[in-house]
Amino acid sequence: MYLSKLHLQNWRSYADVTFAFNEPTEKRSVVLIGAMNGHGKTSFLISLYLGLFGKFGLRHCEGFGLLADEDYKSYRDAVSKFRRNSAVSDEPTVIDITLTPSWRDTDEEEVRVVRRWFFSGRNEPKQGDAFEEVDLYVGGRLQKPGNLEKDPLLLAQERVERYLFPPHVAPAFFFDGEQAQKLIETSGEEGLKKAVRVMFGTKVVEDLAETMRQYLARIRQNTGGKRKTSEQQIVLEAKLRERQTLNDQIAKKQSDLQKLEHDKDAKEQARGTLHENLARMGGSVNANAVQIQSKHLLAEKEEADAERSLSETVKNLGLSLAMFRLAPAIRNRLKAEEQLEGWESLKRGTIDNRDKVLATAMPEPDPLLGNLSADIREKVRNRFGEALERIYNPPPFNCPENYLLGHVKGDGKTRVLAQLAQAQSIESSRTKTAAKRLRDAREALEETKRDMERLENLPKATREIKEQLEQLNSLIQEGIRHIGALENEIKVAKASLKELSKQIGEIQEELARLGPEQQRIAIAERVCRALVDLQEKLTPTTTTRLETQVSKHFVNIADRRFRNSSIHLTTGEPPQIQFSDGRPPMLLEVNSGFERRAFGIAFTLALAEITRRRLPLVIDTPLGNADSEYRPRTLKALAEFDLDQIIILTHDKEVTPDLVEHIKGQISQKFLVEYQDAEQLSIVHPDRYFTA
Amino acid sequence: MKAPPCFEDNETKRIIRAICDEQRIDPELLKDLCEIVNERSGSGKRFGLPEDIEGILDRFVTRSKEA
Repeated sequence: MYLSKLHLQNWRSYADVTFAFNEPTEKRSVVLIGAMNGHGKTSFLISLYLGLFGKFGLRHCEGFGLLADEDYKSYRDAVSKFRRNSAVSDEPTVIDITLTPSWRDTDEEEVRVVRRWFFSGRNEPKQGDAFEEVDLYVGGRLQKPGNLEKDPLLLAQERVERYLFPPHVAPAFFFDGEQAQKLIETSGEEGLKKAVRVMFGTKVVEDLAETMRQYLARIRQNTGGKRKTSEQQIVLEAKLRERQTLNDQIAKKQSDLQKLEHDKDAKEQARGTLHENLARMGGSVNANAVQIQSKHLLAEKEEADAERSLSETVKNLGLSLAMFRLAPAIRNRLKAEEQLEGWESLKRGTIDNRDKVLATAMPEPDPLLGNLSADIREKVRNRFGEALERIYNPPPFNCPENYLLGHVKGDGKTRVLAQLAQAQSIESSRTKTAAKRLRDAREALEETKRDMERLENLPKATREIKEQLEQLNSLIQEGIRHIGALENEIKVAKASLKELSKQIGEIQEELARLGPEQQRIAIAERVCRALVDLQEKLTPTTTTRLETQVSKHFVNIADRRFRNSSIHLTTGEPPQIQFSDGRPPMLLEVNSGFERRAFGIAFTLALAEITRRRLPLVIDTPLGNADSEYRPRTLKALAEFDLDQIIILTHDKEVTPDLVEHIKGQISQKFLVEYQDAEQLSIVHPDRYFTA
Repeated sequence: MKAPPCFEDNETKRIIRAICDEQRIDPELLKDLCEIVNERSGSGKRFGLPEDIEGILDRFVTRSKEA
C-alpha cells in the first residue's frame, strides 16, 4: 500500500494543502519532502497518527507515550494545540488520508479516512460527540455505522484496524529518527520484544489461548447437565490416545520387521557367497596340486645346483682375491724391474763401447800424450775405464737391486698387467651371478613351499567356511523365527486397532447423535493443547527472528567496526552487541548517539519486515547529525528497503542535494515545503527540492 | 483482516503444521480462530465471539468429514 493523498486543513502551519503522491514503481519508491525546521515535517508525521487513529494514535506520537487511550482531555488539548492558530473558528481541522493498494497488493482495497475536529467561536474544542467525526471509505464506499448503539468513533476505529492495521503497528512505519533512538532508551528490550510479539502475531496466539479457555469453560457450563456425554468424551479421548499409541507401536514393529528382513536377506547373500567360495576351492585343489608338486621339485633341484655353483665360484674367488690384493705390488714391481732393465741396458751399452770411447780419448799415436810410457798410458786408460763405469753407480732411485720377475720381459709385462685386471673382473662377475642364482632359486623354492602349505591347509579353510555356513544358517533360522513372531504381533496389533477404531467410531457416532457441543468441546480442547505447545515453540522463534532482522539492518547502517556484529536481546538485560571476531561484547547504550539511532532505525525496519505488511514507511529526519560517512550508507539502506513507498522528511542540511545523488535512481517524487512568514502558513511545492 | 504474520512465515508455518498434526486439527482452524480473536480484540468488540468460535469449529468438523 502507499500513501496516495494527504489533505491537511487547519493543521499546525498547514492551512489547506494536499500532498498528492504518485503510485510508486518497483524501482522508484522514495519520496523526498524537504522542509526547514519548523516548516511542517513533524506536523506531517503526526497527522498520520491522529488522522488514522484519533485518540488511539496519540499515545504513539512523540511526547505522548505516557497517555492512555482513555485520556480524552489530554487528547482534546493536544488536538487544540495542533490546530492552526489562525484558523477560522467555524472551519474544522481536517486530516484526510488515502491509502491505495499498490500494484503488488492484489487483495487490498483503497482505504480513506477523513477525520474532522470541530471548535467553537473562541477556537475551543467543542464538547462531547460534537468535537470529532470520522468518515471511513473502503474501495470508495462510505462505511455507514451499522450498530447505532455503538460509539461511531469506536466503530470507525475497529474498521480502520480491520482494513489497515492497529495503531500500535504505526510506530514501525511512521517514525522520526530521534523517536527511533528513544525507542531503545525508553522501552527497553522487553518493550521491543513485546512490539514484535504483537507484530509477529504471537500475541494473538496468546489471546486466542485465553479466549479458548474461556470458551471451553462457558460451553462446559452450558452442557453441564449432560454429564454422560462428557464422560463419553473422556473415554473417546482415552481411546484416541490408545489408538495413537497402537499406531505408533505398529509403525515401530513394521520398521523392526523391515530391518529383520533386510538382515536376513544380507545373511542369505553372505551364505550364497560362501557356497560359491567353497565350490571354487574344491576345483583349485585338484587342478593345482600336480603343478605345485612339480614346481617344488624343480625349485629344490635348482637350489642345490645354485649352491654348488656358488661354492665353486667362491673357491676361485680365493685366487681372484689374492690377485686383487697382489696386483698393485706386481704392477709396481714390474715397473721397477722395467726401470732396472733399462738402466742395465744403458750401462751395458756404455761398457761395451768403452774401448771405442777410450780409443777416441787416447788415440795412438797421441800427439798430446805421445811421450807417456806404455805403463802409464795403460794406467790412465784403466782410470778412464773405471770412471766410465762409475757413471752408472749407484743404480737410479727406486731401482730394485735384482730381478724377481726377471722372466717377464718387454711387452710381456703389459700383457701380464691386462690379464691381471681381466682375471679380477671375471671372478667378481662370476661370484655375483652365482649368488643371484642361489637367491632366485631359494625364492622360487619358498614360493613353491608356500603353495604346498596352502595346498595342505585347504581342507582347514574348507572346514572354516563350513563352520561359518552353519553359523549363518542358524542365524537365518533365528531371523525367520523373529520375523514370524513379529508378523504375528503386527497382525494382533492391527486386529486390536481395528477393534479400537470400531469402538471410537461407535462413541463418535453416539456423541454426534447427542449433540454438536461435544464435538466442539473435543476440538476446542485439542486447540487449547495445540496453543499451549505453539506458545512454547513460537517464543524463541520470535526472539531469534527479531535479533536476526535487527542485526541485519544494524550492520547495514552502522559503522564498519560493527560489520562482524550481531544484536542480542536477553530478557532482563539491555540490548548487547556481540562480535564474531573475538572482540568482547558491548552494551548498545554505551555507543554514540548515531549508533543508537542506527539501532532504532534498524529496529523499526525489522518490525516493518516482521509485520509482513506493505505499508508506506514515513521517516522524519532519519540521519540527524550523522557524519558524511554514515549519511549515504543510511540513506541507501532506507531507499533499498523492500516496501512500496518510503517517504523521507528532511531539512536542507540533512539529505542535501549532493546526498540525493546517491539515491536518485530510487526517487519517485520530491516536494519542498516552505513556511511563509507573512501569511503564517506552509506552502507545498511539488517537484521541487532544496538547491545546492 | 489478514492472518498474523507467524502463519505466513515459513519456519513458524512448519511448527504450526507439526503441532496441528499432533492434535489432529488443521492450521486453517487455528488461523481462523486467530483472525476472529484479532478482529474482536479490544473493549466492546467481544460480543458474539463464542458464536463466531462455534462457527469456525463447526466448519472444521465439516472439513474433516469431507476429507
